[in-house]
Amino acid sequence: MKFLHLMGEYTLFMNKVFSKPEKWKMYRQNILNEMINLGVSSLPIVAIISFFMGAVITIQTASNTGGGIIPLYTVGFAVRESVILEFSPTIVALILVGKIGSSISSQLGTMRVTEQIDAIEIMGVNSASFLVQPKIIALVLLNPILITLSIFLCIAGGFIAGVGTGAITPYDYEYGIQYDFEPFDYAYSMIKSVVFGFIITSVPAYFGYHVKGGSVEVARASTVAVVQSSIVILVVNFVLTQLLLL
Amino acid sequence: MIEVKNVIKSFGDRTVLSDISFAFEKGKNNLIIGASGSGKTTITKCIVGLQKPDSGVVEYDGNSFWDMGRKKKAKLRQNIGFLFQGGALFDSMTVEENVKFSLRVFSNQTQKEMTDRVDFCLDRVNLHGVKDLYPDELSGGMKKRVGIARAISMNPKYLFCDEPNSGLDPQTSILIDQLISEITYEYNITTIVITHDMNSVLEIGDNIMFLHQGQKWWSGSKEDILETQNKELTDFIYASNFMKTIRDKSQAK
Repeated sequence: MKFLHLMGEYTLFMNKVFSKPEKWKMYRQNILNEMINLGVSSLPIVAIISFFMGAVITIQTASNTGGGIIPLYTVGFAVRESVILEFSPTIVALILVGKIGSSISSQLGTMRVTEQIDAIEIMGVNSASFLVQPKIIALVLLNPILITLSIFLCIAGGFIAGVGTGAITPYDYEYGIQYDFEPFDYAYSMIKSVVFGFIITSVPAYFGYHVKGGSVEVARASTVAVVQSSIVILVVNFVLTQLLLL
Repeated sequence: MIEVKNVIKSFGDRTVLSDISFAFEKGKNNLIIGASGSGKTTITKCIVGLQKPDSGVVEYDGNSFWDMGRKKKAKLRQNIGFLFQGGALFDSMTVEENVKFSLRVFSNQTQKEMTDRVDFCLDRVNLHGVKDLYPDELSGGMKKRVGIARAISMNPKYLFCDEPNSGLDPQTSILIDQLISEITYEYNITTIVITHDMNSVLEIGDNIMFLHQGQKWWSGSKEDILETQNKELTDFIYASNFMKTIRDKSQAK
């Protein structure tokens, strides 16, 4: 029952968020600002994590397949598949929830308890649309770019670590990366990144926007937002995998 | 003019407003006074549309607020200026951006026209050289002034001030009261001030409503309030030693 109530409230909130803006020009400017705040500022963490995860996946795969009947290029193939299909879109989304989701939730929560959202409403501005819509649009547009960069850096990290440690030859790695490549896998990854971009921004925004109380409640909402968004991402990931790959 | 008629509001089993009716007159400082928990903030939220009354009517110049469509409500709200108790200034924006906010959203003015308007509003509240500062760099009194400047930026027909003197020293409080009063008379707007500061009541109270336990207990002007024999109101007025001393000296004469 509580779940249905939550879903109903979330749907109403999204309806309010996606109502017609008061002034498009101002929204466009806000979207650009949010692209910098949410997307560009996430580049370093995405880059570092992706590079090292690619390196670790390569070394682990090589150590588990080496010396047997499995050809060495399988390492590159396994790295590509795991990175494109799962690691970059899903794990990076979970990392971004921690960084961006908590920031959105605490920002909106603070604005709520300090009456800044009431001030926007009283001025006749749709506060949900004004504050949340640019964030959602910005990350839905930027997340595929972040994920593409993550895929590239994972593969590059794998190459440097694999070749650098002597676990695999450059030829085998490159051959494995290109072996039996299905372009749809990349499209699948991009579909997931768009959906996850929406979840990473909209779910924490819902929890932050509806905070009641003070600083303790803002902190609590931020924690709940990260946990709930992570669960939603994992469930939606399962559903999308079923729908798109089977 | 704003009129509330038979407004009732409850939260669960607790009735916060019981059948409140009152007319807030144009061109006057209308004060809502009462102790904490008497329903001052709730009636204000019902008037500006942040909370819906369980029953009753809120009328702006004869138009029922809760019967208006979304667009009409949004249009009306552009005519409302609101000074929040804590300022509610946008902390990620400078003073200039705060005052300019409504103009950017609703007006078709050029950047220069908007900047001129911001300068005019800040000048009107006697603030100079603070345009580029952020709210956390301002004193309490300055925040209130910026709040007033933001509230009047769109030439509102209705001005709401929620405890404008809270947290201010007596001298700054008087200046803020005078400023609100001057703006009310100068632009002939309907001003509603929520307060429990007796200095404000005696300074600017043209039309006063006293709330007690969610009911309209008394109404009148600043001249009437000192003559009242209403027990709950006199308990409220003379709660401080300062006011008691004034009364005792006045009676001794």
